[in-house]
Amino acid sequence: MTVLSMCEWLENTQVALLVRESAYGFPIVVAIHILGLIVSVGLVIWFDLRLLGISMRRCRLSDVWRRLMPWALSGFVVMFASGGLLFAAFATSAYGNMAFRIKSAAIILAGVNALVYHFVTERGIAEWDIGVRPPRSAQVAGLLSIVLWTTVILSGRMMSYTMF
Amino acid sequence: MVVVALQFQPMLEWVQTTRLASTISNSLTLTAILSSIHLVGLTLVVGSVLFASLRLVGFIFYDRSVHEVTDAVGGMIMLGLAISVTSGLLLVAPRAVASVQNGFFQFKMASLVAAVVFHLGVYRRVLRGRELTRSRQRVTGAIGFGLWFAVAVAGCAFILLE
Repeated sequence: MTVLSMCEWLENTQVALLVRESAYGFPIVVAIHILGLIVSVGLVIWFDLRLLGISMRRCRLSDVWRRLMPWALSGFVVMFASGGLLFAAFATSAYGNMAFRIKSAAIILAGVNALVYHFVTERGIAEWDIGVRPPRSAQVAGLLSIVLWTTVILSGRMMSYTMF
Repeated sequence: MVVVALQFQPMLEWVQTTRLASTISNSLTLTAILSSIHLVGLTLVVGSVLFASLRLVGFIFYDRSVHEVTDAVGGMIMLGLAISVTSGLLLVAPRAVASVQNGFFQFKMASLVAAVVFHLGVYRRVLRGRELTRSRQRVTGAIGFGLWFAVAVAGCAFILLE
């Protein structure tokens, strides 16, 4: 089964048809997707700015993470669930779309960046948790996160203009 | 709102005929780029307001000073607003007349004006005030976020249902 045939199968599922063909299915799911994105990325950026030593400097880095993440993760769940529905509805068009490919690559890289930070960089956090400027590797993680999530927003919006 | 729109009709028609509006109107790529930048600006504004509102309402960082959070987000709210307003004006220029007549656009603009007036007139004054009681913090945080969230919802409705 090729990726394209999987996309075709996905497009013909009941839920994909509902999103694509009902009167308000598509706009409602897109609106939820955008609002989820605003909440998740709009909050994650504040942890990234703390990693860069730009904002909330008097606060422990681990504290900023612990308190912001439940809210940001809720936004991510909403964004990915609604994004999955939108992909299902227009899977074949999205598969061949350059903006979608850039967006997918940026999401994967953002995920890898987060995993590397939490499983490698963060190991030594006890030494710099309270410091104003975390080490260079943590700052790079923060900067990469901002660049990659901005790419996700830009390419995601470009999809609307290049897919339909 | 409709009366106001009619009063500005000649000016809106002129805006549509400017070279800048024509350039944007004739370029789907430029429109897409502006629209993408507009969403980045909106994310910065609403995300920052949400961060401040979560502290004001008392959901996060309740053991830290309110000003530690609100001072941090102040600049970002203004930066996001500058980005989204500038890109928004450029996006509307080629279709100014139709946009102003659109109900969702009118609701978005009304919410935007209310949110900016609240932010500059009430939110900042409450934060500077001597009696920053917990109930005042909560009400200010909730109303502030509610207004900016309305701007985002109306914006979604405008681009998706116009």
